[in-house]
Amino acid sequence: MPLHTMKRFDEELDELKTHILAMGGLVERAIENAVKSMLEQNEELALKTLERDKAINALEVQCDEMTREMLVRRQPAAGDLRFIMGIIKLVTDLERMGDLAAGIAQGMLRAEENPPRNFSNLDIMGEKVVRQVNRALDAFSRGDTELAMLVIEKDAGIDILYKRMYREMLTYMMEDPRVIGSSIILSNVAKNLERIADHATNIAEMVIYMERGHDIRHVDHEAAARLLSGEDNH
Amino acid sequence: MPHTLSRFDDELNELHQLINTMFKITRKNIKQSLTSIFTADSAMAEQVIARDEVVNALELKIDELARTLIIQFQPAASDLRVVFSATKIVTDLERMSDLATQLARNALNMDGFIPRKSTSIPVMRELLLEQVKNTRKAYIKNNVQLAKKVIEQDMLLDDSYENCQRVLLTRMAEDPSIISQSIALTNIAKVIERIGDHASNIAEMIIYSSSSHEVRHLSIEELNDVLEDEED
Amino acid sequence: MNTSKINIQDLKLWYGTEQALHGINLAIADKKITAFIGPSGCGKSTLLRCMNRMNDHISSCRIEGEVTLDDKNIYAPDVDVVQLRTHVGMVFQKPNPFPKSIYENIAYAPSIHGIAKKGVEMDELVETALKKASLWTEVKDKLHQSGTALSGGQQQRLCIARTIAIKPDVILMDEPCSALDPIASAKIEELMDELKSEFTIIIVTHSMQQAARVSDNTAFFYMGNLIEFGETSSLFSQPQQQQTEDYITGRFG
Repeated sequence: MPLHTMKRFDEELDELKTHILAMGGLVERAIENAVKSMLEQNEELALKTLERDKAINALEVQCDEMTREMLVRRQPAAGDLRFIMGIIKLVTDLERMGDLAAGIAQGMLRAEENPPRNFSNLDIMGEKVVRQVNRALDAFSRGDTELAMLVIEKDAGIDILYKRMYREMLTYMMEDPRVIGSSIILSNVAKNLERIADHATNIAEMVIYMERGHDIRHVDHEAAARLLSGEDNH
Repeated sequence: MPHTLSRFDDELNELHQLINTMFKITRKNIKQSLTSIFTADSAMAEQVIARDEVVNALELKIDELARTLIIQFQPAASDLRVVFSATKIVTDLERMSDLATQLARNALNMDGFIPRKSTSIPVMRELLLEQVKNTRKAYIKNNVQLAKKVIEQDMLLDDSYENCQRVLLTRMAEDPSIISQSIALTNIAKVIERIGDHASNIAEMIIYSSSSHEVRHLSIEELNDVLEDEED
Repeated sequence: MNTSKINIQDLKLWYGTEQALHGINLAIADKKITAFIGPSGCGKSTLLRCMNRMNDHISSCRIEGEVTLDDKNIYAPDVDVVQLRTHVGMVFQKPNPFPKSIYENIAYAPSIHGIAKKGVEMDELVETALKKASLWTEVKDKLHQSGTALSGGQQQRLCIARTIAIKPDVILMDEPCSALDPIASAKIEELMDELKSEFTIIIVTHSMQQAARVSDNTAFFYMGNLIEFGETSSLFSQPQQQQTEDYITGRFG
């Protein structure tokens, strides 16, 4: 992308991007740690994850301040404006992902007295969701719309994993009422992971919007893919 | 005071109108989705699902209008806060309507099962509808105190969700035959609680927009401190 | 805010019986860009001209109060105005190069003030000034062509180079971009950003957007009063005064 006459604007755009990636890094680690704390029944790690959510919250507020200042001072248009508007949306997703990770850590603390005996596919689901988040952030970092499309396509797989786990928990509960409490917690954890993946999809949609100018929210995947493959460029 | 550029006022006004409409439809969707569950009214559930499309379209339209406003008028100070908050608020409204749609889908999948009303879900429903109504009012009237009330109401809603979950848990332990139904109810309660969270997020943006105080991530005590000198 | 370069204390100014400035107090930060904004007739240009005593030429003008540059009152009786203006240079709304060559435009004042000797020393000074004004690459092969033959934006940068050549501490800019197209304006803005590492810059501008873009601090004037002064980012996002809010959101002016 050609540079602006105002060098400082370019520096600020870079700064904003770095800021988002730093926040994304924290979110990724929070999800990893939250799931790990549950799987290993590690109270300390759960508490640490809860504590670190404050840093993510602080970054959200800071980032919103940065974008507002840029709107006022740089009067961005076209691609620059899309980038900044995209960030305004994306930062909310990141913050909510952090909240959901904190929710998982809270679930761990609640389950402590009566921990689940069987974690089902939580480890696999956790890994897959973290990979989705990682891909979405990579797509943002590189402006890679193909990778963003991949995130969107792969979300269905996460939904299936969640539903499977939810049904499994339901059968455990019916077989043995003593595991009702822990099974509910575990299915809530899975639900949080599924929602985190939804936010990763939102980020991917924003990346496509920022890069290409197509707002593909509420458009089905195939239509979005068609848009991006250039059939619309007539 | 109006702007010297009356076109700017016109477009800001349109932005407010669109958001107001989005609020109204979203609230209707929440209300009807919950009713459809408790009356097994599948036709009503279908209507909710159809109406969600309108909410989606409004989200895109409002975001586009916000961008146009920024490009054409380069808003500053309170004008920028209004436009900025609008882009945040519509995201939450869209999610609220999405969640209502989820409830409506649940209603369609319940195979004629009508949940007992003895749970705290009807109470949660009333709390939520009241909260969402106040959110819209706070938005229209730019009313910081009312927005604060929405945040307080959300705490009540959270408590009542915890309560509901506990009750259902005990019941399931006592009578495993109702596990499947009780879990369905827990899920409904959870969705209500989440819709309330979004209303609370919107309330925070309303406070920011009208008072310029950033109150996200504050405890209720901190919130009270910040708004102490805002009595109006 | 950093140390101040210029301090304005209770400055009052009258044109005849009409008071144009009502007791202005303002500290201009060193090596920063300060923007003066406000509707026409608010006193921003009048105040700017006080800072190198341009108002002295107006016979009906009467001034009370103090303007200190590096703690020295520029209105003290012993101040040499010509000397003062070598410390406080000015760039005007319309570029006004002399009808002489590009080289002479820049060398004229330094030779009068004995800042550089003719020959290699002056050549170097001209080159440095043109480079700092981001004009060198465009004019290095035609230094002896007339300055008035340049484009508007180039002429304005030539005037900036001319101002820089006398090595001032402060550069005053009165609507420096109002006669320029957007691209030429953007170049001037970029240039200002570079110059502030060496100079204290004060700019009067009608364009709030320009003030928001280029300045570190902004002062908002209305009817001869300083209504609000602060960091540009906070003044434009959260002004403390209703009048500022109304002005920057286009509700009057």
